[in-house]
Amino acid sequence: MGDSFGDRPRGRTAAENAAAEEAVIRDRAAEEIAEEHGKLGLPAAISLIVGNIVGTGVFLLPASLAAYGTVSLLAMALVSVGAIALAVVFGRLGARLPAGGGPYAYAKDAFGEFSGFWNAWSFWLTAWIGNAAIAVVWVNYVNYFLRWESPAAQIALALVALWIPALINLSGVRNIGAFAVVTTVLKFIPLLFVAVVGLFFMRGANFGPFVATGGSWIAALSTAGALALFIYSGVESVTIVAERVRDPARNIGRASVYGVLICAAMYMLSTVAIFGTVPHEALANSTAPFADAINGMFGGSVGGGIMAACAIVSGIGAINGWTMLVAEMPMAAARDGLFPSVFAARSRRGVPWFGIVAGTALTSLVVFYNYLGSEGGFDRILLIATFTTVIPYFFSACAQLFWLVTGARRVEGVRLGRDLTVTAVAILFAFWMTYGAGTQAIFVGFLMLLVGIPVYIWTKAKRGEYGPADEVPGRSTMEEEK
Amino acid sequence: MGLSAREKRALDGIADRLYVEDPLLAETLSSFATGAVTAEPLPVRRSPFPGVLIPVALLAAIMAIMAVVLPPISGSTAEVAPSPTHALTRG
Repeated sequence: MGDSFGDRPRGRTAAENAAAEEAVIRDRAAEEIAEEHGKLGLPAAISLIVGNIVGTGVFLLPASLAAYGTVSLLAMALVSVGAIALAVVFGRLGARLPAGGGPYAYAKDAFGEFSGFWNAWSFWLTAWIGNAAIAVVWVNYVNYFLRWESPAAQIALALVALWIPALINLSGVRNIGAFAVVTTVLKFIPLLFVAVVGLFFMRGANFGPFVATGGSWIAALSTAGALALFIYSGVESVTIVAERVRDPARNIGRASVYGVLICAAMYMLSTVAIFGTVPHEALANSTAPFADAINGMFGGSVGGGIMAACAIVSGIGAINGWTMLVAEMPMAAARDGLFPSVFAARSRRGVPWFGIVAGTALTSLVVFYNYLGSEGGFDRILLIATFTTVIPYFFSACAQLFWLVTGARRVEGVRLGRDLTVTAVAILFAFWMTYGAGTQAIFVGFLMLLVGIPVYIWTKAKRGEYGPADEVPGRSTMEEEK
Repeated sequence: MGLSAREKRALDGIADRLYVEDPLLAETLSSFATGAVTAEPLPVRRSPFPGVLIPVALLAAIMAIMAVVLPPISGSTAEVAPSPTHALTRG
């Protein structure tokens, strides 16, 4: 009994001590409330997912799909089913293991720390390389208004697209969430408008043939599916920032599923509406299908400006969300000693500043390369991100399967059958995505995965570890001595 | 019976603290746990049901068939219409 009393300051009365303890408890409660207040609620979490999924590619998607005929609507429906299954799996994983890093944490938990590292490495590549693709397309939309065609001017615009979101990220999680909500709402208004109002302007003759390529419908379905497979990239967003989400066990699952359902509804409705309002031949050759749909509905040429503005908001919103992920994933790995420790450093505002700055700097280099290097080289870099996107999906879905078929599961009977079915669909979807990435992307992406192995060795060697971290005796002692 | 992840973490925490407070004792105790670990059994909390492994085998078979049967696609501009800049990476 004496030890606890011995910790108290001498010369205080019992009442003063009680008051001091109460003040400490109040301070802690206030800190916890403040901390919770700075986290992402359900609307912000949904906005993060929707904002990251819907970037700039969506604005060209109907034209790309039209080239294959209306069979592409079926392909998109199949892809949507796979993405929803993946969202459900991420929701289950997030509820069971609401740890930062999402796919990294799931792979590490199920298959060990090297798998975890590989997922973190893979996702990190995806995040900062993918941002370069968004930035370059974003510049094209900005130039709809500005017409700044010189490489220097385009580089300057791209840097604006990258570093404004980086500054927002450095300013704290609340600002990231607020920016995500605002940009998601702003981008969704015109898209939803086309998706809903367009349905009233549809004509059956505009839809064109079921298969427009002349070959078999299965081949057209397969190719159109491969084209649409990546439109849901970002479904994992909230799982990666699990520690920044209020009530993660509940909200990660809800945000993942609601976010994907919102995107699926928007994708399907808008594509059907545009297929029905823009004649097939014109749509297949269109460079601005949403604008053409608006112009077709109401006449004039105002649609182009509206959709360019929408794409600008959408692009910068997506970069904001992905910049958050580009830092959060390595931070989670760095805390476990599986990424360079500097990635775990947080600023006074509680954000992983090094990850944000380093990721944005690397993206900036890729952007420079796009405007000053060869176009083929830039596309080759982007192919890396195509393949590395899939790795975390595949491992995460397999981690869920692993959990379900071993004794650790908490579901049985019908619920087990349901969860197994959903997980199997998610795994097959991720496998299909891998296939859809294509031989070139798999080739260059796999080489970049191999590059990660020396990085893993370096981080382990720096910590004096050989083998799994939790089997190295006296690790904590060594760390404290440092 | 294997330990759960939480139990393992708790034991690791105790071990770490012991290394800090009494390294000599910790080293002495760790000498009892030497030897190569070849395979760690999974913690079994429910009686195993072989039926759940059937979907795993089925899944592997489907993936193998897909890998062999589906024709390779380049993923470049030739077979998938838009360039990677526009569509392949993200929506």
